[in-house]
Amino acid sequence: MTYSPSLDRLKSVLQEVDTELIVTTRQMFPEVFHSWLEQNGVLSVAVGSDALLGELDVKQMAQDQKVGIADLSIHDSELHDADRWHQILAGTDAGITSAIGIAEETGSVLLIPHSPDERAISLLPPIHLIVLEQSKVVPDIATLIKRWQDVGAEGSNVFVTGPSRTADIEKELVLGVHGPMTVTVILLG
Amino acid sequence: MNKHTSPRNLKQSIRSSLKNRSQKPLPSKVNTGRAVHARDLRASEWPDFDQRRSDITQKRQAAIDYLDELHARLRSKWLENGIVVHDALDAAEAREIITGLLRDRGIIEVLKSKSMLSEEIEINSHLEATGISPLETDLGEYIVQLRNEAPSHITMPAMHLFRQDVGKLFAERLGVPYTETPAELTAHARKVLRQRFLSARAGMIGVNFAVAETGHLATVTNEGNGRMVSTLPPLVIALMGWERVTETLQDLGELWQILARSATGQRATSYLSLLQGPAKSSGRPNEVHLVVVDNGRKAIHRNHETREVLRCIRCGACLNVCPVYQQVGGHPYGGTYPGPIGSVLTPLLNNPKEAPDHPFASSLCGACEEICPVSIPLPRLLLMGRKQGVESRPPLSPERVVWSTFQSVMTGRKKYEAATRLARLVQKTLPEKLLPIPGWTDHRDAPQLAAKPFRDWFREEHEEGES
Repeated sequence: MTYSPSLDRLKSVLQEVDTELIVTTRQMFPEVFHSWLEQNGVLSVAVGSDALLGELDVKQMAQDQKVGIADLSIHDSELHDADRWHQILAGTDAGITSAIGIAEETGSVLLIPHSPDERAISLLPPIHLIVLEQSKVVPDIATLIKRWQDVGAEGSNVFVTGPSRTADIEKELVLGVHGPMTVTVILLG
Repeated sequence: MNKHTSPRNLKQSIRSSLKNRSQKPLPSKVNTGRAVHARDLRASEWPDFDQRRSDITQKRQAAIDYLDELHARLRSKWLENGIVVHDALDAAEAREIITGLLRDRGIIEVLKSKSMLSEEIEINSHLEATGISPLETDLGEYIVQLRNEAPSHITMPAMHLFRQDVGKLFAERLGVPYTETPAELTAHARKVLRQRFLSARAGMIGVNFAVAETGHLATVTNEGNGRMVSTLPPLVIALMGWERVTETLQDLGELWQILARSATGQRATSYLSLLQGPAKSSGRPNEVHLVVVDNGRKAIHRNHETREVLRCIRCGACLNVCPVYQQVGGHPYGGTYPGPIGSVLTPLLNNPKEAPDHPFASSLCGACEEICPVSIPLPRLLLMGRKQGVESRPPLSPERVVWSTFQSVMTGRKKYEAATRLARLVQKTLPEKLLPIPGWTDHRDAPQLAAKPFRDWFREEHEEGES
């Protein structure tokens, strides 16, 4: 079954949940990524071990831009200390992950289940960047779940729909209560 | 700290809340109005809303009907996934289990994400009594905890407050400069709570649904605090009502969306987190304990008349549309669950004697049933609650005497005629004000009996016609 997504609709749905959508190509990605880092004043990143991010060599790209890398492997082995790692992530500007897919109807992103060590990458830094291929756009949440079930639906995981938000004071919307304040989705055509 | 007022004496607490209200317009009225508006906007987005609602109702009912089977599947999944399961028969057992888990590990503070069940079992006051500090991390819950209050709404805990109230509270309790800008107030809370998240030894989450096919524990949040307390600390304690089970991930997806639309008018909440279990090697959490709480749910389940209420997904939409709730807010209800769903649940979870007036705190207008995403027949259940409430009263209570007399008079012709004759006599000789019926004659005139009974009149007319 092929599905041709309406990127216009996705863009407006994402806008409603305060999420920027950038549509580009693999070739253009380095440039787009570079200007995204600059525009958001990102000086340090934590990068999930998702396959796509490895293929794109996001870590190297960031390093080339003199952006610091929060890397678990540096704090690994006998030095490994989850509390220390979480402190480092909290002091990192942006967490970068890929995703299983994104639902056009709601703008919800289903992340790729991360190892327990990596789960906080999309949670503690104030900015969350999600990079995924355009083929991962699906019509709705039901299809998104189906995609995850196709690969076993294993592990702890999370659906993310825009930044952390609250309306607990007089129903007035405020972004970034505890989780990320900014969420950006980059789609690769 | 005993934040919960007793659910008894509802009438009295409603009366005093109406008397003491100084704020105009009422926060409860303003804030529920905003919530209803947002919900209606999203509901109208689904042209097939009614169909979806009836599908979800059926699925939810099927899950309730097969709870035992689904629990059997869940338990083998939980075992496989490394989740330690504890069954709690009642609130006291649940409190004992949780306190024990924390005490055994020498933990003195537990960070909580929002859980109405944790309110139901009154875990906070119990923990405090044993020297463990519970810290609420949902912004609304954090605010009411600082005010030493109970939440006034299922999904909007600080619904009863205006921004100025929160501004004053934060200035006083957090020592920050007074501001009434929600964004600035939120930023203060973020700063204070962030450091606590990072050093937390234990987190407590409420489970919206457990998924039978995978064993995932699903938590719906917007702020991300639920993710924090289930991702960062070594120990996670998950609290779950026995009925919060769904069969498949697909069902969960449907429930999540209708919950978001009904509660806050969002298409989806910021987060739906799915916790499968503890980390198998490195990382957090190292331990996940799940407390499955009965506390009266199985009894509700056994009774086919009440079972449908277990479909409830705690969206709070019935509170927002309830004309009674809009006027008085959540606190006068006492107990944990206010509004129409609370008026049904409170007497069922405790017992009718504990909350005798709750089913009466309704005009039976039916708005609650109409908006309920899982079609719970709240007006019917309220009527049933009224019946049980009345039946639980002592046999010689004035109301029962009056009604049984009325019944006996109305079912026998001789008694009826004698009674009306007597009433006619009494009515003529006694002024009405001497026969006050509380809550009735204050605002109504007693009906006047006709000088001549219809029967007599008819007989006379009939006989005249014949002659």
